Amino acid sequence: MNVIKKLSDIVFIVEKVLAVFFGTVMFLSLFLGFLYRYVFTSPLQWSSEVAIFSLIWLTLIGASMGVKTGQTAVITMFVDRFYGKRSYQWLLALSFFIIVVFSIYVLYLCYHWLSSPNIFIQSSSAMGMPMIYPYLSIPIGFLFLLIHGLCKFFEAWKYPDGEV
Amino acid sequence: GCVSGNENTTESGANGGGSGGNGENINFSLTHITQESHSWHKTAEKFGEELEERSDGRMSLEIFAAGQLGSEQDMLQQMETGSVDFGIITNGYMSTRNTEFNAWFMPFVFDSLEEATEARHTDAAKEMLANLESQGFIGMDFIFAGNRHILMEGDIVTSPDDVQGKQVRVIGSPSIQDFWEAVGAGPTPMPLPEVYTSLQTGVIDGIDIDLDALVTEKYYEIADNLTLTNHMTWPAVVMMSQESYSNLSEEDQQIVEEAMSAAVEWGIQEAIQREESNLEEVEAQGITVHHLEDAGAFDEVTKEIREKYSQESDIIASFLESTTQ
Amino acid sequence: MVIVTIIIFILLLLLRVPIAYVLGITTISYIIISGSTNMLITVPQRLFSGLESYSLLAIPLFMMAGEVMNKGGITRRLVQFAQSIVGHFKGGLAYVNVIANMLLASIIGSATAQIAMMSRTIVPEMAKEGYDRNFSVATTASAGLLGPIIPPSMMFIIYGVASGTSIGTMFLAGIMPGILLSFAFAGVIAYIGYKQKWQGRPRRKVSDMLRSFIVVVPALLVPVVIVVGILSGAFTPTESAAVACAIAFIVGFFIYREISLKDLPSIMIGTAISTSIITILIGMANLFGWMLSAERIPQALANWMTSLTESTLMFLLLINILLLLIGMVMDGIAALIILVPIFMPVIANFGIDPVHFGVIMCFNLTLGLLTPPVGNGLYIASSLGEVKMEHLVRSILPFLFIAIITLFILTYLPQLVLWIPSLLE
Ligand code: NA
Ligand code: NA
Repeated sequence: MNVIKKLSDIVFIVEKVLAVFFGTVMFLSLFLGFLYRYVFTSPLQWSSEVAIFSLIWLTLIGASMGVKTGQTAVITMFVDRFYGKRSYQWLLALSFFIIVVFSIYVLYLCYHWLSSPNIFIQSSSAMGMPMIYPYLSIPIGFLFLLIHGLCKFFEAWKYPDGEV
Repeated sequence: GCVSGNENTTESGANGGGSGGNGENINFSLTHITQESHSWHKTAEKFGEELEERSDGRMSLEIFAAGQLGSEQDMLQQMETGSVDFGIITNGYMSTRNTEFNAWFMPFVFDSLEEATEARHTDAAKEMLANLESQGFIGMDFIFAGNRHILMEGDIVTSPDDVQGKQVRVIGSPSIQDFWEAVGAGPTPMPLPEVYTSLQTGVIDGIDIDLDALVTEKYYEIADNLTLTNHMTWPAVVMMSQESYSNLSEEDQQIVEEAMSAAVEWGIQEAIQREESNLEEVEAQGITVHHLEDAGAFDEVTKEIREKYSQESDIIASFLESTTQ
Repeated sequence: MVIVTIIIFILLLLLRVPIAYVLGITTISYIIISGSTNMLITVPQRLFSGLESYSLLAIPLFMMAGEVMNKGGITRRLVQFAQSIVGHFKGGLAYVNVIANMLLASIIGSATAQIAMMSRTIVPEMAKEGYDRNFSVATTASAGLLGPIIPPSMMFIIYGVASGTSIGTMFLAGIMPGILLSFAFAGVIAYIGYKQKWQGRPRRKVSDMLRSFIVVVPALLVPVVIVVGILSGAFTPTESAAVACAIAFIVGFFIYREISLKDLPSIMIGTAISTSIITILIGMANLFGWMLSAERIPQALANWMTSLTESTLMFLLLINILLLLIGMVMDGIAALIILVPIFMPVIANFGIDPVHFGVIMCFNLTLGLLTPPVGNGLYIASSLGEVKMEHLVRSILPFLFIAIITLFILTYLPQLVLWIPSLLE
């Protein structure tokens, strides 16, 4: 379980790097898109596509980071009633367990999805970029989510006061 | 519902095919991207009627309009697995998967919509449909939304000079972008909900558009000049899931094919008629309509694009050969 | 089958599973229960295309702009500016709070971001001048609601994406309701001040006012460029977010010199996490919506509601009550994402303008931030403003009451919403 913790921390660093990279690319491509169209009157064909694909990567990476840092949209009012009790840890662990099972299942679906030969004939409309590159954001995002989820699942038992 | 309905489809289809019996009821599903007022939806409805009639009420069709089952890539994937049976997929999206579909976007091939619809009988068009088999689809036919024209906030368009340096909203497809770049305009991809405001405020100067969309989206409220260029046509590919098809008995396959031919034939007449009624509507709204009688000024661009794409695909070369004599 | 799915949905929500994954798991469970397993493989594809939308780009970029402004000292100068104008009135700082929030709202698109920023900056100031702490925090949390109503607005962007309505038009439609709500809040402050016999303070010197005005001019550049840029056709609302980021950075870096290049990575990471809270929800809701439309639930609901009443006003009243109830227990943006696709066919049946409906819906769900038991605005304000939740809820009641009145006025007078957009036509 120490291995998981370490792995999750390493993944988190990778995620930070990716987030900075895709955030920068997204901003620059959109801003340059505006500049080239409005100032130089020659629109960039790739700008909005690059920005959109960056956002998708950013979303999958950020969502996984959110689970690591505890920043997700959740409804806590029920579970919070058990705050400070042993059952709180059980409930907390259960919620991370559900995330783990879900991400394993999505990874399994992704395997089937991306192994279809029709994936490789798909290309983006403006740049003609193979769609597999943006598509990969989904399995990779869920793989990271799985690792953080597992780490949180084990950690949930450790804190008697329920702090995660 | 669709989910349970589709399950019935595959089950009953399999039974029908396996036992050769014809007594099973089959509930098909069809999906497309347009609104329910669009001629593609009407064609789908017609297809449903034909199915029911030709199968003595055994077959029925449930239609999911307006992208209810997702984007076109989602639709195709659902057809791949057989969870949706039929799809009307824009040629624009298909052209990003298979180069040969760009044939329909070659500039200034057709003078009217009627002429464009005739081209679906060419060998090249049939080959495009046949090639879909390798992806798990039965390419059944092409239907049409109309030809594409140019709506400008300012000028009418008689030559490439009139759109030089102008921002024109286009649909993202390689050949359409190439064409507009060759013309010298700035092709701007933009999501549909933003087009109206952008044309109004001047983010874009014009749109590459078919008349049906022009009327539906009420762009006549904010733009002054429509040039009927017929610079390209705007078809969709009618396809069926191979999975669903192979689960049908031979008789049922025939019923489906015949029903679809009849519906498409009807839909094409409908589209041609709409091209006229839409034009009347646009004129009634006070837009200046200009007919581009002579596309000669665009010859250089036309030649460049056609040559480029003929080299990319033999099917496109053959398509152009048979349609531009 | 449907019942089992609903039970799974509620159970998962209560179990503290993030709402985004609840939507995904519910959809997958539904597909498995209904036996159409060949639809499962479409799940990742569908999640992807739910995110593949140009308009969604405005969300991270407006968030980024907010973070850059905060780090760059723009926020603080806006507060000082408001202080120099209305600081001398009876209850001056409370008005400052509302005005500073209006200014902030014209740059930032989210109420929670605004409540968090202002709770830290203005509540201590108000405490120093002897205002009741509960009242100070209540004013801050309420005025934060202006964030998503005065353009730009995250809620409006999401509504525009989900309903196919122009985001530019939505932005214009939010101006009047935002101003109206600001006046309504000022009214509440005046009333409380009158009852509690607050005293005025000496007027600032004109030279002071002038100085704080000059200092704030570069900061005001951000909203001005956004509005002028959109109206003059220089950029789309989505691009305006990128431009706002750039200007905010230039102002904070070259003029105020409070932000440095070293701050950028942490801003990017913060933006990535707070963006994805919303966008992953949108992607998953798209899956969920796929299940709903495959089951034809929106149409069934539309028919049912149309059969319930024929009066548009009656219908809107019912919707408002329903949304207020939903807003009590659910995050507004999540509710918006799930409900818009369901309501679109209904409002088409009633012939309601989608822009008007969008403003009402966003306004209404925003109020949910301040209603217990699930009210993120309350939590943020009470923890950052250091007051007890129960006390805050009591102090917030008059503001909430007047906001609901404003909501009903906007519901029954669509022209208040649609007037500014119509000027452009
Ligand atoms: Na705002
Ligand atoms: Na609430």
